[in-house]
Amino acid sequence: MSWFQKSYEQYTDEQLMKKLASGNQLAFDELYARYANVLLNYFHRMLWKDREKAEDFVHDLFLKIIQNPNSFDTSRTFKTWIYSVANNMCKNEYKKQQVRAGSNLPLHEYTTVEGKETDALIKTHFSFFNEAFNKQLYDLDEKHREVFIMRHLEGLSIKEISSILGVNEGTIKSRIFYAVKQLSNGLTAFNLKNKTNHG
Amino acid sequence: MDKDIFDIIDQKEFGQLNSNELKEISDFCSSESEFNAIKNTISGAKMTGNGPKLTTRNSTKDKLDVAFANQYANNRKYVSYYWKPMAQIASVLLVVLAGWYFFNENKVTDKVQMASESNVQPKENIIESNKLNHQDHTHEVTSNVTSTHEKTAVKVTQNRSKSTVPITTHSPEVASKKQATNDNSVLTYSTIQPAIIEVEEVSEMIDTKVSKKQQEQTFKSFSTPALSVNDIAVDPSKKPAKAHQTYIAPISKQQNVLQYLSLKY
Repeated sequence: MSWFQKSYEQYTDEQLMKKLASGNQLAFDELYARYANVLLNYFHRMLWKDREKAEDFVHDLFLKIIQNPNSFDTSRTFKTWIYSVANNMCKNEYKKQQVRAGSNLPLHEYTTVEGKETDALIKTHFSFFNEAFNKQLYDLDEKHREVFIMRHLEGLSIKEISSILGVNEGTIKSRIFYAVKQLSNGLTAFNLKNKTNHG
Repeated sequence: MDKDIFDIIDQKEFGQLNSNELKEISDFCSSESEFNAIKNTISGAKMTGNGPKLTTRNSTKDKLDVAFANQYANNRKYVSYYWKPMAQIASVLLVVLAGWYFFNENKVTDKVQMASESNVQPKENIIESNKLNHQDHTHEVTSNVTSTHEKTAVKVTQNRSKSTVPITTHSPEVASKKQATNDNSVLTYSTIQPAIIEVEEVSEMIDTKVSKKQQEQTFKSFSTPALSVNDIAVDPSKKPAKAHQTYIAPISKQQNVLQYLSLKY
């Protein structure tokens, strides 16, 4: 069918947003396909591995887009804009949780990471590392955790993080280094690289 | 994505760093052991990030679809049918089929026409050829023209009495010529254009040697039935200026002539 009409996969996020604002369902479907799973994993990491909450947040975020598509800031890229909206939603949730139960947030059970390694020892080692890593991550304060997740778990660039948070790149870089140092201090018992090389 | 300092730490060993890279990380890690600790943490985070991914539930999408339908129920843009690919394909096929049918139809019509033309000579050609013959032999017309015309007119009367179909005839000269060349002259009269009788003035064609009797046989119209020669005589003052001028006489005039002729003979 591409003989007659441009495929929606070829449109940029910003073009799709324009079409969505005019009531184009296919544009919405395409945007959802691009970002729903990415944002679900982001929310899952940011919200204490709570799958249900993450799913609800994805729903709420896309509902905001449907109800008010003109809130999209056209001076920014859609990716950084949607991450900034998601990040703000997480911040609001942190505040709610702090009000309800203080700063001690429960850590839900961690997902089991199934790596390519077949060695049971390495898998066990990585499972322990993962558990400790997540614990250390949630021990970080909010501003360091969010930049670390965005940079090392979501794969965003420093420039994109800077745009999402509205903070200059030098500050972002400094925050990430601080977060990495804090994590490495808490994970000194694990020497993951040596173990994988050994396996 | 452009490589930043964290990519460099993840990909290189401490000994592989150049002076610029060492200068860049010097603010964050001062020794090789500190560098390796950061490197291991980044590698571990990367592995965690590459772990199993969650996927959204279908129910979430269904709820959003309902919300979308409600939100844009009034101003949803429907794609016109002619922009839908299947409609476009169908239209193209329809045009191609129509074109194919049109050209095939023309071919069949041409063949039929050619076949009919080869078998039947058109009426126009017959009339034209008769007129040409008439022009060629105008001066050869003699007194027997009138008598031939009279005989032919009687035959036309007989034909009309048998059939209700209107009769068309040519000028007497044409008829006489046709009779001379073809024995089926009466049949020719009954097959030419209906409801029109062409009567050609013969007075111009007849030269000075034409007798008075023949002149009396030229026609003149009357509202009442003609009973004598004077009734059908041509008025010289109303004689047409041009020779061989043809006009269409009404049936009533022709009936007068025929009645006169039938009474006389």
